[in-house]
Amino acid sequence: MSSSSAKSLAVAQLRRQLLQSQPSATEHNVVSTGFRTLDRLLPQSGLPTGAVIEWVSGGAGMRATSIALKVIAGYLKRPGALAVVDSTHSFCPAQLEQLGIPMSRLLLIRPGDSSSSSPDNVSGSFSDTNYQLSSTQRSEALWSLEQLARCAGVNVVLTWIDRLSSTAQRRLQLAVEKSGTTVILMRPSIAMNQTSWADLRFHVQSGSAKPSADVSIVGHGSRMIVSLVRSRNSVQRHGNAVLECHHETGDVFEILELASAAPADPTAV
Amino acid sequence: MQRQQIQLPSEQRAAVAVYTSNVGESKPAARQQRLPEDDLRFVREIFTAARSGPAIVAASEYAWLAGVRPGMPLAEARSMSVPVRNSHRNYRQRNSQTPAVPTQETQFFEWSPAADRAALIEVAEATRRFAPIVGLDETAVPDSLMLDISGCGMLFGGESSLAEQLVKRLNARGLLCSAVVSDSVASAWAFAHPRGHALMTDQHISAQRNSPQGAKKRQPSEASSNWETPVVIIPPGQAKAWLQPLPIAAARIPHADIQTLSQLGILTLKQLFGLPTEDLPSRLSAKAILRLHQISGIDDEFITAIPEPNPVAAMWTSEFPATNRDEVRQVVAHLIEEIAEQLQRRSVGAVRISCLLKRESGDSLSLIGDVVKPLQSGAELFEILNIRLDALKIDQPVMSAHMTATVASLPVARQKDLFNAVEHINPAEELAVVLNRLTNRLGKAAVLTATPQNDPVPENSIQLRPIVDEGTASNSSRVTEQRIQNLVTPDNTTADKAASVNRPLCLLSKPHLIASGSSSPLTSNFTWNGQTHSTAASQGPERIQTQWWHDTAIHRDYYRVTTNHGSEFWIFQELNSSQWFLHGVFE
Repeated sequence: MSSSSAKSLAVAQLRRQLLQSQPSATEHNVVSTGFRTLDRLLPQSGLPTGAVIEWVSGGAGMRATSIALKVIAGYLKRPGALAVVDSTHSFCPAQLEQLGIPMSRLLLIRPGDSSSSSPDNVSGSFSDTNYQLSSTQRSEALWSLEQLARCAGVNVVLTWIDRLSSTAQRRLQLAVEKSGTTVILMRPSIAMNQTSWADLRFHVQSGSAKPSADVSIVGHGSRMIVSLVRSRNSVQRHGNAVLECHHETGDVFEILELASAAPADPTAV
Repeated sequence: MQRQQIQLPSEQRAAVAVYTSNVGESKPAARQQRLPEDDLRFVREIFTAARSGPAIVAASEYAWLAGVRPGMPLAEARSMSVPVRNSHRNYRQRNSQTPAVPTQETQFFEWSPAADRAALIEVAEATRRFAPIVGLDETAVPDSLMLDISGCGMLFGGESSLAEQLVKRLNARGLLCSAVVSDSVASAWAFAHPRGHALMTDQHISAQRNSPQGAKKRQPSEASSNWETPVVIIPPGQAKAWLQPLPIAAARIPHADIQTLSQLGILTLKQLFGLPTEDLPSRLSAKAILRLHQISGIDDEFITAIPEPNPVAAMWTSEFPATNRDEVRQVVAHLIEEIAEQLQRRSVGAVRISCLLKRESGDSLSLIGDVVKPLQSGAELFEILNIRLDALKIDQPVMSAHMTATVASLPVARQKDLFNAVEHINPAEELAVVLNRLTNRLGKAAVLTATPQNDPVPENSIQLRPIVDEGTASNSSRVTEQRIQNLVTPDNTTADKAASVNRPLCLLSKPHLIASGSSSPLTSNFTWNGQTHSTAASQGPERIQTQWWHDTAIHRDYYRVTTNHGSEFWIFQELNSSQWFLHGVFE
């Protein structure tokens, strides 16, 4: 056995041991994403509660928010509101029910004067890197985010934010640890180069523009590739989840690998 | 909820009629002494005779026998107001219990809505022991009291017993009245006024009196009009079914709308409820639509409380003014302590704290803090005012401060678990605390809930409304409480996905022009926000347009466009101008 293969074997063994030593998932603090392939990437086969989770979008119009909301629907099976902090005043919740979230659960926070956040000042979409919030809007949004993150009556807080200082991230982390609220931060692609204190960070890219070579996929809508790029306090598992958005309804669903063409094992019956 | 009718003094009981002032009066100086413009408009709508001169608006039983009728010109009524012995004799034959009719002429009094209102407020004061919030109905000429008796029934042996005791108390004051208990303001008013407003025309009254079923076969809804049935209890959730046989006037919709509907053959609320809701805004006034929504339970309605004669208040004055924010904060904290003590003594909570800070120059700064649920804790009330204080510009010394609290009954206290507090966290209570902070710092308009609307125009597809309503209605906290409960309660019913279509999560409030003329973004590039996007594929069109009778005509063909990078946008071509706009981003 060569030294490199021995090394990789040892690394694999260590990885296995670390995975086994991680705290076991309980029904109480882990929520399934609703996508099997995405669950498989996660350390506890689901998303933690009382955590800060980042979704980094590859660009405007990549449906990262749609995926995040579809995942949030799992959290809302428990009591507590979904709070959305919308500094750009452009979030339209018409699609929420299609993604499995009752509109009656939505608490929409729009800090700042609506006139000052008109497209003249804020012309980008959530995940666009070009939009600029005024300092007042930014501070109001951060204050609202922290207040909501501290509240045990809020199940999930979702917001779009381009820059976040380490202090603000740490404050959020302490808030959610105390309250059990989950904070979902939707970030533009420039956030990939920034420091993160988040428990998990996902990256969403368009599958239509960059098709995955190793996955055979079929579908009828826009395709997105979700990868887990950061997982705090746990070993990261490699791989992607391929999701698709239905053209007609806007619903997000999973694209599974096609079954192997090899004949089934007769002894397995 | 209860309706009252002031019994006339015995010396005036014989034959009394009330007339309007000369509504045709055009001199501004003279008009100031007469009816306010709102009341004039109301009278002109109801009584056509009042458009050209004074007219009778109400007549007593004996004035009626003399031939005086509401809506009649005053001059004509005066000519008929002779002693009515013959008529009286006939009347006594029909009803032997009628008291003796005096023989003097009918007396005429000028109508004073302000005096009526003052008298009604006086009656309201007598009902305060039954409910924390007492108000008048919000019609042009109020004639009823509205009581928020939520949670008060148990103190009187049930809501029915409460209503009976209320009626007895008012009867003891010489007032003839009836009470309706319902789960909404609109339905309570409707059952208390089954034929519309108390000021009815001759035609209405004749119809009511001469109705063959009027006395013999009463509908449940008509019971409240009969003083012999002083209390009507409408079971929760059944108001709409009970309302159906009532005439449309019971919905408090404006007179002009009643006429429009009558011309169309819509006479009862059942017929009105059966009309397609999307067509109504084009045919009825905005006020009529609001009233219809309120009576259907779509929109909430609040009781505006009459200010208490002995309010919860505290005052600070000092020889040495508070010169900076920290000193003002100490003053506010001191006043809050006093307010909290008064609240505890009265066993009520505050839904609004108002503090007037009088400055050296003589003008005042207003510091107002609203809370989502009634609060009694001084610390929590101070936290809310402190948020407001941070945003207040204090550039002059403050000489004095006066603080008042708008009160409401406290929610039922719930005992917490001693050993496992986490398991017993009430999400609604926790959320109410954070909502207090958010609404006071960001403003009520920044904290919203969403409701889907049946409107194809994307901008109108969602109705956003503040979770805490604007205004000072004291019982709005109950409505807010229900909204908070809905926010935190998991809904087990699955959403109706079949009705939904693919819509972007990011909708620009103002569509962004991306192309005009012959260049189409479907086949070429388009630029938005400094970036050029190359269209790879598109789907559409989906035509969205408004009906022809809408003020702003919208004719758009929408397309879903996918760029080379996999981004998806929602663009449309304005069919009138052929310009192309970007309207949404599929985030």
